[in-house]
Amino acid sequence: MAKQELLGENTRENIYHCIKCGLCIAHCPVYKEVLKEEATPRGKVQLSRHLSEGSLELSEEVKEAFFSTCLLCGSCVANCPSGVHGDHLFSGVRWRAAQRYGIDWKKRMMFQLLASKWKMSKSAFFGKWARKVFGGPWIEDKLNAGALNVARVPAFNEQPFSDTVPEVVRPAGKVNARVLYFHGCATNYLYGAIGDAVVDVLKKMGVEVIIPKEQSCCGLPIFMSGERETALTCIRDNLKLFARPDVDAVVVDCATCGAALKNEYAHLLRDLRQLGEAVSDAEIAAAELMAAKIKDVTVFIDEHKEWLPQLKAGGAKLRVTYHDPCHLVKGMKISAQPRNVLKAIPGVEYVELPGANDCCGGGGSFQVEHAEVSRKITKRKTANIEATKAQVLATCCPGCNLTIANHLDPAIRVLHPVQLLREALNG
Amino acid sequence: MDKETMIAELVKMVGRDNVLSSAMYFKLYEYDASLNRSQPDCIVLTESTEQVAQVVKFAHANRIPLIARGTGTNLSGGSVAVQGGISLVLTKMNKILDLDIENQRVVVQPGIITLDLKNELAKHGYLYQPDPASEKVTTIGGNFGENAGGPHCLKYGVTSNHVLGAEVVLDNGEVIRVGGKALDNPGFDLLGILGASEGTLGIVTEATLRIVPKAEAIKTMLCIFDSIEDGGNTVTAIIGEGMIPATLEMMDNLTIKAVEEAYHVGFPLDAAAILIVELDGLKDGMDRLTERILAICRQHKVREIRVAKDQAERDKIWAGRKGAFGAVGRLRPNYLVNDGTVPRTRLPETLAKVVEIGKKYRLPIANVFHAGDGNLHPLILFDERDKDELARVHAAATEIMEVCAAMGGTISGEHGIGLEKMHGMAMVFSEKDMAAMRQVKAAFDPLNLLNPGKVLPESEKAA
Repeated sequence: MAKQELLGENTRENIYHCIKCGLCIAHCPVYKEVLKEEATPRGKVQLSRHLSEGSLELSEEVKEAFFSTCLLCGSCVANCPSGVHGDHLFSGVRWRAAQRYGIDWKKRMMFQLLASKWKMSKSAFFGKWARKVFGGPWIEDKLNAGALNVARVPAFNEQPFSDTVPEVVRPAGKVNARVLYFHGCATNYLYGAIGDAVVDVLKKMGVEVIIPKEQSCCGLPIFMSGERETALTCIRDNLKLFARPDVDAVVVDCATCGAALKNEYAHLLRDLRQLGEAVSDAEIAAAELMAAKIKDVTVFIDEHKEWLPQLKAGGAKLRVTYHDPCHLVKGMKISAQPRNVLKAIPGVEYVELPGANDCCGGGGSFQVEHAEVSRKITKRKTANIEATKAQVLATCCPGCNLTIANHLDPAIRVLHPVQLLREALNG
Repeated sequence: MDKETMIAELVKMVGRDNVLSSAMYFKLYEYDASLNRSQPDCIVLTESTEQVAQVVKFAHANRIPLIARGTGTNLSGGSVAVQGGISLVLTKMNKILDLDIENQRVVVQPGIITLDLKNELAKHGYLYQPDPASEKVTTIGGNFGENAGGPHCLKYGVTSNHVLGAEVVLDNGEVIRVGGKALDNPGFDLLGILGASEGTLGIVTEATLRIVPKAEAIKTMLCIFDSIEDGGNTVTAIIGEGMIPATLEMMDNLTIKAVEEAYHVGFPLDAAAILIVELDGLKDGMDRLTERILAICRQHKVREIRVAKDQAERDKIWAGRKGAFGAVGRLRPNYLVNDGTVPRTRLPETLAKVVEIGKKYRLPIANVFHAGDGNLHPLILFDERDKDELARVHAAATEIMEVCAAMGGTISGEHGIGLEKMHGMAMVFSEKDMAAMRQVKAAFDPLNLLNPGKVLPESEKAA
């Protein structure tokens, strides 16, 4: 091959199915703020086409367009009448751009740590260590935290969540099911309480929960930033642990991790194989086996609600609303189940959020690097939440949680639905 | 004038962020939703009428072609800079300037997205009627320039029926006002000339639109037929009985399949045609009218009728219709859409000819149409990478235009002539007709700088 192909074959076909109707533009949170064509999914699909056909050179400017005007929220994919997978194209271009121009060293270092964190996590002090390392140059320096207010970023867990739970948690009585639990990095390092809630609720439902100690980052933030080689390490590590035929489900508490594990692994492995990476059939088969078992934890609970013990009605009703994370509602097409879980709690007065499935504007590191656009998108979200007069905003994604809580009226708590369920179970 | 100087001058007028000129940006503004591509020399975003006037004046003084565009959803190549020059992007001029509920008028900038405007009006219980299928992306400026239609135009008329006034930047940068909030302005009807002029006569920087209170009641019916003829005859019969529903939209089997795959709206995959009938108006009498329509459908062998029970069901039906063009992108990578119009009663006959043309050129054709208006939308499906197929597509499209003209209709109902249908103008206009139009163009734009190379073919003499 004289010239390195930009995109794998099954990804490349997308560029020819974009008929440039522009309907994606209506659903793009970034375009609404930028109002230029590079911000449109259509525009980036067209650029991908030119790059792939060799009629446009990859430049710093092109790299900037693919990184700074896309949250990879998947709204365009979910709403494209022609079924074009812009996300696959964009992450492919980002990969090539990162190869040529590199990515920010802080980001690269973070990703390498996430991918190989298990060397670190043996130390119970990883959390504090990470805070020291990233707290300095990245997070605590207000200039570098972009749209995030550093004072409101939650503290790292005292210990990584995985060090606080046994590898297998068995219920007291009859075992109704056996599941693997993929807790993302966010639960591991920032939101240990979500992990505690997931384990506790599942246990009370009579579910045996296996929490593999060596689990890695899902890889999505890494490959979406163009670091495909690093992401591949994550994918392989996770497949070894989670592609198991002998469990009923693999539950996930993070919308982003869930979307990665369910939708992206097999596709990415195929893509990389076409582009010359040594990927075996067995690995692709393992990715498909695992994908079929992936369930957002709220979906698992909703499907087996008869296993839940009687929920206690509290005193005053708690007014709760729900934000649809992009990777759950658009990526996994899940919107009813988390609401069902919330509505099943007797102490909850559920109120629907206007624009519930609009992106929160976070997009992982997007909010750090592209603060102005991100902040505007988040503002629409928090204004809608505050208008509902809810006391709690529930959402199934720690990424959205981090972003929204950072900008929201502090009187409103931001929780995972399972945390509310746990409160109800424990009275 | 060399490019560097041009850019430096433009930056002075609109600021560095609003002047785009790099290989990437030329690629980003070389297309619209048609098959045509051509790069501008420079892209300029303006934020006020003054800036537009300055840029246009500059282009005029330096003989630079200039083409205004919004979101670039044109279906006939109207937004493509065939002669290079400046691409003037109006997306940042997207404000509502005056919402005058008492007088049922709204004044907007041209870059406002049609549906964004409607959503704002809905908060006040009001509505702007035209509803091009692409309304969630298209802008009012483009809607007026193309005189966009949409399903509800059957009852309410096309965009120009709802534009009552405009602020217009002329070719030399002068700003004029035509029409206004009042009805029936004296003098020449310049507004009438500007509607559908496709950006070749001037640039609208402000539009005054008619708004109306939302209908008290709406009934949406999905009628499923086993033959296209039965559907077509139903349409003729409904209108023949003196009823004008808000919409009479039809789709054929190929479109139904594509839409179903994209939107899962519950259209039956084996239906030959579906007809979407929507009634709007007062609550009183609505049920009686619905019954009459249903009776007509039954007389014409309707297989099944589904009446939407609530807004959610209604939205689902319309999502299927409005996403139909995009959805056919699932069948083949590209489509070319014609939008010829024929007298309504000749619709079944025309459609039969379209089917023949598809067979003749070995091309799949999906059909969606504003049946009530006799406005066809045959979507010819193909893959532009296949050059032989592409040539057959253009031949088929030309033949479809000829058929429409021969039926006593015309070559475009709402998407504009642009580039793609320019060669069809002679099918419906004589050389004298076009000479009259050229005189209008020369009066507004003697240097031929505004969206040159569109709508009017060169005269035989000049060519």
